[in-house]
Amino acid sequence: MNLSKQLRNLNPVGNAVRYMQGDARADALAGLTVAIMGVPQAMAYALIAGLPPVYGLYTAIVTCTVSALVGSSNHLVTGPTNALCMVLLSLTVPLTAKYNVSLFELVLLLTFMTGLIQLGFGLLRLGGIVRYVSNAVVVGFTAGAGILIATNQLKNIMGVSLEGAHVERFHEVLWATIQRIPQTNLYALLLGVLTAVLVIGLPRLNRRLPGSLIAVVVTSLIAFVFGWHELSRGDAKVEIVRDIEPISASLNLFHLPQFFTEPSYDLARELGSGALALALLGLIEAASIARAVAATSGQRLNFTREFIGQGAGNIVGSFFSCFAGSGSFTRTAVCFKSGGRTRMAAVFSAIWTTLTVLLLADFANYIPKASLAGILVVIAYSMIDKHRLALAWKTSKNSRLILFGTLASTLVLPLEFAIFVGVALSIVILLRVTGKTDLTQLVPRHGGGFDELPFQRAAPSPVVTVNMEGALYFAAVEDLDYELLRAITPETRVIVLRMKRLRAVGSTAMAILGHFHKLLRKKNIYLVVCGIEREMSDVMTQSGLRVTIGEQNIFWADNKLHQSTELALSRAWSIVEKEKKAEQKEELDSSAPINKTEFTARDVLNRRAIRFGNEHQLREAIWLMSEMHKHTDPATPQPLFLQDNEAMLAGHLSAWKLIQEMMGELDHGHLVDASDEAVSDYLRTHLTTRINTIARTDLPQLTADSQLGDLLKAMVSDDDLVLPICDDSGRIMGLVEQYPLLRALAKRLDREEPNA
Amino acid sequence: MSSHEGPITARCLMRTTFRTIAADRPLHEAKDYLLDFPDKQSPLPLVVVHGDGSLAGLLTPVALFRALLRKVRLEEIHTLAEPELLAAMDGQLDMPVSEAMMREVPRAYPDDRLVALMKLNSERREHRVEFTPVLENETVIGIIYITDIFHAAASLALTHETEGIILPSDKGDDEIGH
Repeated sequence: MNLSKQLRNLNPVGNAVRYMQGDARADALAGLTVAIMGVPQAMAYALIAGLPPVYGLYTAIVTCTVSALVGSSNHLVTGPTNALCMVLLSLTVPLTAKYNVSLFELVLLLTFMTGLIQLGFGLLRLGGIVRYVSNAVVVGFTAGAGILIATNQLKNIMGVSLEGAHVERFHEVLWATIQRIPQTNLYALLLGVLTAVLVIGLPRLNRRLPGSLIAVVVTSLIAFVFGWHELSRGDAKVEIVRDIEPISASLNLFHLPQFFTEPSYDLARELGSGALALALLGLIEAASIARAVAATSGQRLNFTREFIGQGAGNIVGSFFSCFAGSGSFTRTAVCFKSGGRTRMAAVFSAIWTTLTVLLLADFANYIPKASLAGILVVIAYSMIDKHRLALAWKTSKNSRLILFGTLASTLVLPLEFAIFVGVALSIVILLRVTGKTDLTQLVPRHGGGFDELPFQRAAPSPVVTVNMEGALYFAAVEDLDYELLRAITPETRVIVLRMKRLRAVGSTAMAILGHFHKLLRKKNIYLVVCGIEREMSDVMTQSGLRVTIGEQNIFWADNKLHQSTELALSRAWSIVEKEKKAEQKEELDSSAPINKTEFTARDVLNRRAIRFGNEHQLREAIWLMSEMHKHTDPATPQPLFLQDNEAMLAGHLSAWKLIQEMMGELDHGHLVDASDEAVSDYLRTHLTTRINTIARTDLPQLTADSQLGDLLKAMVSDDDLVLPICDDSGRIMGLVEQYPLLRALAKRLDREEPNA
Repeated sequence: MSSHEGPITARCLMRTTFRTIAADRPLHEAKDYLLDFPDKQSPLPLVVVHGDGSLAGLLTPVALFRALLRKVRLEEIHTLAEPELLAAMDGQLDMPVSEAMMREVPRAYPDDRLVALMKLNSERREHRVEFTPVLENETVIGIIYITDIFHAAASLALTHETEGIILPSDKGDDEIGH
């Protein structure tokens, strides 16, 4: 912000003049619209909380003004809300007798505590916390509260009292109301129903008509003209606002809550969890409403400031006879749609409400309670968001669980617990979704690459490749070891775990993987892991898992897709062949002694072959062979045996062939005297050739049972120093090299000598 | 291989541990030479020399097999029982090494650069041989394995960035690396 802007902001008079010339008119009109719609609503909401309607008006004045001025949103209208009022009632009614405190004083204390918690949330900059609470909680809770409100207001529409009956829970209220149907006051019922009809019908005739206001005016006039409010009518008398507590045309709002003069810490402690629930619900409501409007207005919200605004509104309100308020969706929407431009629109609505109290208090005293109940029943019905409920039912199991779990909780549990249930469900499901290790299976595809199949859907194979994705922290890994075991079939000999896409790897995960390894070893199954990133490598080293699994069974991540997996698969198939060989040997050893005189490849088989997928580039083949030649006998240069996706022998690349390919079309004499740098630059130009296009594929067909003659013929025919030996299915199982063959032949020749 | 400064030459890559055998010695003696190496150590390459010490040729196990099978028709070898095959080969062990050795072999000189060695081993010959003799004044002073030539070329061809994958170390019973 530059200096001139800062100076301009420090000039309140100038700002006020500019405001009066600019946005004031629009805000005043929007505020008037909000007040016309909101006054009957505020009075009705007080009824929900079991309080005289005038306190709803006070809340619509004081809390609304403070929150608007301190908060962040330009359009949020704070004040009494149906859901909060329902919770207030639920929290306070059971405690009035216990602590011998009036409902009003209890509500003020609760409101103060709620504001304090909200302010604390704001000062601790916990504004972002609301994003972790699913909107489904709000929808579910609101729907549940709507059902409760409607149920609670039935008695007022019927003009009956439930006094004397012990009713707290939804079903108790409903049952008590049903039992009183025979005592229904038909005049009250008529006014209530007429109110509901007008509230619903008038806006359908003309959207600009204030249905609630007209309804209370009409029904009040009817009751007044026909004298239905007169005491002389006995049981047929219609209860009006004056009977609950008269509204006086004054603004003597200040009231120091009793708690500050006669503190009861037991009471405060008992209200603590309720205040937290109320604070959370209020913040969630306010934040979600402000966010919804900001999405259209384009305003960037500061939720921390909004929390402070809500807290300040409730704290100040508790000293001015207000009950806990929050953002009202209907009044906020009306404010925005009526052209409200700044937070002053909400302040104007408070001013208009104040004028109503001062000028129309006498009239307001004659509003029938049944009329306010009629308004509430319509509002309660609109609180049940049928569209969202249906959508949640049709979409994911998780949103269904949160929404209907919260809704059911509102009906069967005390309301504050219903909120906690909803929030807890949201968090648990969030953790379940984010803290989940997804498992799929990779199956080599014909022609290169892999197919990713759902877990346990791959065909049984000796080598099972499991792709792990997602989080691997403590919450995600419970039972992961047993989950992974489900991939095993009777054929499985090796499990390859691809762990490249795992994040948040923790020590618990290492312990689980260690246990998985142990379970596998008990079943005589091997574990090979691949795609190991640096983070995972560190954790594996620190946990000792690296040693447990064995370096030879760990393949590090590479920037080339699936390279590490292919190497791991080669390793896995090597293990399978080794096992097979061991089993065969065992079978031979255990069977009757065979008079084996004929020499076969099995007698000199070396199972250590360098295998490689045949879809790679020359660069990778050169690199692999170069690495491997550090460990192999230079006198017998092993070729690189290529295998296809099913591990079938598909060709081989010798050191000569690789040198030839690196040389390319080099002319005679060219580069012979060049520097190593120049040679290096030249050699690098030929490295992208696909190795399956240059590999030798006419390899001799030899098995472990191939005899001496076959082996010698194969070796001398093509100067092959190393012969590949395959199993019955065509998979390479080992090698026969020139020196071991010569040694075996020499022994045979020495034995033959006497007969020669 | 010796460490070196400057361009990679045959002298840098050559090994001086090899065996020689006179061209007129019998083949069974060469066979014993070829197999005369301790367990778990590399076999020693066998260089065949004339009486004056000059290079006559090279003998490898495959070359020896070829010589032993001289009297056997390869296309019919599978019809022979093992004793018959062994008998046919046994008779060849008395031939002089000169008849079994590979004569047409690559020849390198100490100052030959890597590219020359690569070209030498890329040329088409009657038989492929896994090591190249290095001559000085027509006397064999060392041999270079094809694997060493390949490894040197690979180290030039692959930059650190393009090496890509990291393989497990050589601990354990790895089929791939051993």
